[in-house]
Formats: sequence, structure tokens, C-alpha cells
Amino acid sequence: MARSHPESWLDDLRDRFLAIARRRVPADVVEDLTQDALRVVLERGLDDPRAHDVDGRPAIAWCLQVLRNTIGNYYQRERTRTSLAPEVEGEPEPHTPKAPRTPLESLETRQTVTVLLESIDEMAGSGGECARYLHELVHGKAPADIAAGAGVPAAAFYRRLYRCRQRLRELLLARGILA
Amino acid sequence: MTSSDDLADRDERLERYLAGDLDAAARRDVDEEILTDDAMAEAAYASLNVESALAEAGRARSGALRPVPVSRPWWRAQGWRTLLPLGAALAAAILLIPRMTPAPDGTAPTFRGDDAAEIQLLEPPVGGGPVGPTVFRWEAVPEASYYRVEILDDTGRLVTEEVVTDPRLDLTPDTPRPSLARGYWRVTAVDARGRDLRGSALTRFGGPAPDGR
Repeated sequence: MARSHPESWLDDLRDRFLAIARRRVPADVVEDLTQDALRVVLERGLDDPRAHDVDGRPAIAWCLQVLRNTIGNYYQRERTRTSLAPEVEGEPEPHTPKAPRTPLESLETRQTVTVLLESIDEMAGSGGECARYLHELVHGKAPADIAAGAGVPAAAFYRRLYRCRQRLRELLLARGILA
Repeated sequence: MTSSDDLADRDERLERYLAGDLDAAARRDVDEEILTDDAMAEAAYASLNVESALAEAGRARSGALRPVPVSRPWWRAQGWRTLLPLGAALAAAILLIPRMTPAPDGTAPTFRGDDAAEIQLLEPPVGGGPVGPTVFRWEAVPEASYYRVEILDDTGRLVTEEVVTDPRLDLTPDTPRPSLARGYWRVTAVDARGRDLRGSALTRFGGPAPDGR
């Protein structure tokens, strides 16, 4: 059950943010990133985001997007930190060993795009409609339009789409990228 | 125990929710579930993650995707070897002149949650300016070797990251920059070994969002 006091949604949101962040970033930055994400949410002036829209999407989903951006920023910051760290004198940069990215780091990189497109193409070889649906999403088509175009009832389509995303996540996981 | 029917129902509602295809009552139920149930919040976040990656792939295909630009300080861009004579002189000075600021005990300083240690941001004023600012200024940190400046849009997404040696960033037409009427920024002071010394709070600039929020 949700908490009953007026600020309950914020307490609940904080709890969810912390739980999600703990699975994706090192423990020592979880609290900081959660604070950053909550700051952006609060600055937007959401007194109770339930049943409201922000930037054309449900406000709670928007809040999760803010958290996703914040976690992505963390990994970008880490890459910058690594790229600007002083090199060891006498060791040319191209030969300087770089620590491989962990799956957690890979999650938020732009390399994800390439892997993602390859994974969708791989799904095309295993039959079904997932690859087509996902490619249409990549091209910006709305789910309802894809369902109508495919002649599939909306309820069935949304379930299929969820499973397609699940399969895609599994493929990304197998390639070292968590989603 | 969660049945497969329950899961299928959840999957459908979540997809509809993210697609904006739920009536108000059903949507409020999903809002409530996300806020109170870790599994639902995780499922929503994971779906958003794939959705964002799909959208990013779409932008990449259309050629609209560009990596977040990161500038490098001139001394990094030109390489350490050009600074060797200067470095030797500096090393001598460090040995001869008593240090004004004691070195920390070897551990990286922490600054989050410690207001007194935060870098004070000077310009633009918090929340100020009807259009995107072109000049950012902040309190100098004497021990800093350079500053990392992050500029975020109003959803907290990093859009520009700059590295400068002075406590000031001018976004000129030559600087890759977002067109931002509002957003957030933050500065981190970094020492010569690449360690974060102090940082500012994440701070808003620009006017209110178009929806008045």
C-alpha cells in the first residue's frame, strides 16, 4: 500500500529510485544519483505526478526517465574521468591498458545502439514478428499504429510487444549489456 | 503466487501505459503500482531503457545522433611532452615553496551533502534567464587543475560536457552546444591526478517549463 501522508508519492518514488539504482551503479553513488534525479523531479514542480503528463508521457514514467538519464550521466562522467586521467609517462596512450567495461557500464553506452540493432536483426532469423515490430518502433512508429497495421487486436499486440522487448533484453544480456 | 495470466495482464498494462493508451483510472492504478512495487518499477524502468535505446537507434539511423561532446584542456590536447620544461620548473617550485593548502590524507575528498564544501555557482543566477545562458561562472578552487562542467537538459540528460582550466565557460558559436532555454548545470573541480576535489550542487538555469512547471 502507498503511504498515507501528503508527500507519500515522493517517499515511494525515492524508494523505487534507490532500488533501481542499486542494481545499476556502485553502492557509493546510489544515494547521490537518487538525490540528483529527485532534484530534477522536484524542480519540475510536480506536486503529485499521478495521472499527470510531463513532456507527453505519464509523469511517473517521466520520473523514471529522469533516473535513467541520471544513471547514464554517471557512466558518461566515468568515461570522461578515465579519458582525462594522466597517462603513465613513457607508456604511449594507444598501449595504455584500459579496463574493459563491465556489463553495468555497457548498459548506458552508445555502443548499445549498435548491439541493439544487431540483436533485432538476429531476432528476424528466429521467426515471429518481433524484429518487424521493433524495427518499426526504431523508426518512430507508435505501438497503436503498428498494431493497426498488423491487424492485431490491441490487447494481444501489447502483450506481444512486451515479450518482444523481453527477448531483446535477453539478447542484450547475452551480449554483455544489461537492460 | 503470480499467475501467467496476471503477468500477461501486467505486461499489457505496462506497454499501454508507456504508449499513453490507458484510460485515466487504469493509468492511475499503474502509477500506484510503480510507486509501491519494486518489481513493477523495475519492469517499467527496463522497458523505458529498451524504449530509449530504440529511440536512440532511430536517431542514429536518421543521422541525428551525435555523441555528447567533451572538450579537452589545451594542455591535454597538446600532450604532456610539451609541458615537460614547465613541469620541471613547477616541481622545483613545489619543493621550495611551502604548500599553502595541506594535501589530503590520500583519500579522495567527498563533497556531496556538505554545503560548505560545495563550489558556489555565480552565473547564471539560479533559475534565471529567459533564454539559454552563454556564460557560466563559478567560484575558483585554488587546488584545481581543471574543471569539468556538465550541462543537462530539463529531464536531467547530459547534453554537453566541457573541460576548462578557468572558472568560467563561454559557450560561443564555435563551441558545440545545445540550444537550451532551461536545464541544469554542475561543476566539478579536478586535481592534476584526475581526482575530484569539490563539486557544485546540480543547479537549475533558465525559465519555467512550457507547461508552467
